[in-house]
Amino acid sequence: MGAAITVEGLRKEYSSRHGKVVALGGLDLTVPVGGVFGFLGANGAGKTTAIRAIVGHLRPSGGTVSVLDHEVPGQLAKVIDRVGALVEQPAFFPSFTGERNLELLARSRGFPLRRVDEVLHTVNLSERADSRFSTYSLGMRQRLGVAAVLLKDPELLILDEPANGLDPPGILEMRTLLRRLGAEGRTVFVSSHILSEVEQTADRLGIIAHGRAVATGTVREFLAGGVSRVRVRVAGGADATDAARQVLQAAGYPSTSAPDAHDDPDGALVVELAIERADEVTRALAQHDLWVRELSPIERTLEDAFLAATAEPEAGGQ
Amino acid sequence: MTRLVGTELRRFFARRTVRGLLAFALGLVAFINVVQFARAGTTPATAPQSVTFSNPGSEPVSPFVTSEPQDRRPKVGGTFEGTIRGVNMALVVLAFVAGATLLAADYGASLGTQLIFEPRRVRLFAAKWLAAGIGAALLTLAVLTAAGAAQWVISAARGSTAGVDAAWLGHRAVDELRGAGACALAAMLALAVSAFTRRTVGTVAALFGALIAVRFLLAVSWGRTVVRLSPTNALWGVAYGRFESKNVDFFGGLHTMAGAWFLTLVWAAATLVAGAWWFTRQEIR
Ligand SMILES: Nc1ncnc2c1ncn2[C@@H]1O[C@H](COP(=O)(O)OP(=O)(O)O)[C@@H](O)[C@H]1O
Ligand SMILES: [Mg+2]
Repeated sequence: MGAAITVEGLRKEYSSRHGKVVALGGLDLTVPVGGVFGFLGANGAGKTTAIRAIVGHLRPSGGTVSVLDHEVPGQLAKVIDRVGALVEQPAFFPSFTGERNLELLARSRGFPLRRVDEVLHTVNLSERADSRFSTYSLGMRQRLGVAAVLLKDPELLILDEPANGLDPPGILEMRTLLRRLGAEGRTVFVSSHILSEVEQTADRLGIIAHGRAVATGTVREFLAGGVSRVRVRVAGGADATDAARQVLQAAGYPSTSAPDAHDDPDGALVVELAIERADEVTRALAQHDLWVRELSPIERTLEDAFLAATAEPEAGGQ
Repeated sequence: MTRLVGTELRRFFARRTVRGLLAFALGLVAFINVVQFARAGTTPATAPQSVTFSNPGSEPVSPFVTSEPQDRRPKVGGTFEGTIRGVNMALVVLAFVAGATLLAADYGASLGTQLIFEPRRVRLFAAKWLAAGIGAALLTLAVLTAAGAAQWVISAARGSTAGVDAAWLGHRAVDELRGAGACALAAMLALAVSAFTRRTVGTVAALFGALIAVRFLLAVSWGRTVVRLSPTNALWGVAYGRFESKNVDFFGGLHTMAGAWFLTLVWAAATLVAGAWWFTRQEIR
């Protein structure tokens, strides 16, 4: 089985009064099966447009989309029962109750009606199931949207900013739910413009800026900045630090003085090496009578990674 | 597909607009009958023999006017055919609104979510189209039957049920079915048009626009042909069931029931195809 979602060269231009708006300028994206994939981008980056194209709600100007190895929109119907999606604002009929809205959806595909009660319970909406959708708060609407996604018991969930409008406890519940769904082996594709949100739920990340994918990878890779680095501090002051740097460079470990060294009278080194291989550093230094006092992995914040990724000039030609 | 149509029928009957229209129609029927009942109660009856509907083959009378000015007693056997005609004209408009709202009100509401459950748009559209037709037909039958029952009751209590026999029932059943068919087609036309307007008011405006246009077109020579072929004209013919009119050549030369049915069905099919095609191309929020 291939990817859960594959997007290639997806383009979408909206024509507006002020001319053409390029919402997607050749988006490439591969979402592997299983786990939580965070689709991160600033407001207006093109997340919703991409998701609308993935679920067949809009006609792309170019490019291809496939979902669970089926081309969209042509073959979408074949896999639709395995895909749940919440696109932008939860779309329900205002004068129907939450329950009625879900019931009609369940009936249209022949899902058992008890699923309606189950999913309403899952999203903590049972108490207000009999109220009209128009009376729901933003958070409750969002929950009903998630309930509709869960109705199918889908293997692929596509959620467009599901934390929108939720209060802090609601956000926490959503996070827990998404992680649980991902851990169950489902694929959760969740968009967000809030970095900390994605950082806490996603295993993998795709960053979109100005309608293009600027970076993808595991959250771990992002935090490491693509290269693993450790901070090394040796006993014996600045001279020892200098000596240590020469020893490590000679041994083939790229080393530099830590940029924040001036805050630190003794100085520290940054060595490009995975923390798992830190013993090699201690051995090399000890052979030259240099004794390690501190050895720690350098964590990059996702924010650094995000800013670095989105600040980069757009890759590739037009 | 059956499941989808069933779901859309439920959606249709759950709509407050549809329930409101049904309540309105039933209220109107009740009101007319209460008025007739009260008037029959306050007006002394004339001689019973004059009450019997002497020539059932003659021109039926409007439900709002009793056959003889002196005799206001309800006589369902004579009046119900006219009642069907009158009520049907109102019901056709209500069916049109109900059909329009089934699709139009869902743009910007739950249509996006529906498409995530059924992305085959032609199917979804066809299911909604059928549901609008079936729903409107059922509502029409209910209202017309209620009207007949009410008239029968007040006729039995304060008037006469003369003329009500098996043949009469058969004829009225055919009238009701014709009315139901007209309302079904009105709802289907409205639903298909709503794919373009995306708003109930837009569809209703299109209907009234067409009605006004017909009035003006009848005045010009080439306009008569347009009117004769227009969907509203044919639909009115089916709903009214007759083509002679005292004042103007309202139907623009359309003068057979078969012609009216044929034209209406052609229009329904054409708008179905056009609406479905447009629906598949649309970007849904
Ligand atoms: N229907 C539309 N008409 C015109 N421009 C649009 C439309 N929808 C989105 N856009 C524009 O496309 C860009 C991407 O929007 P969107 O996909 O909603 O971004 P995001 O979901 O990442 O915030 C924005 O510049 C937005 O203004
Ligand atoms: Mg968005």
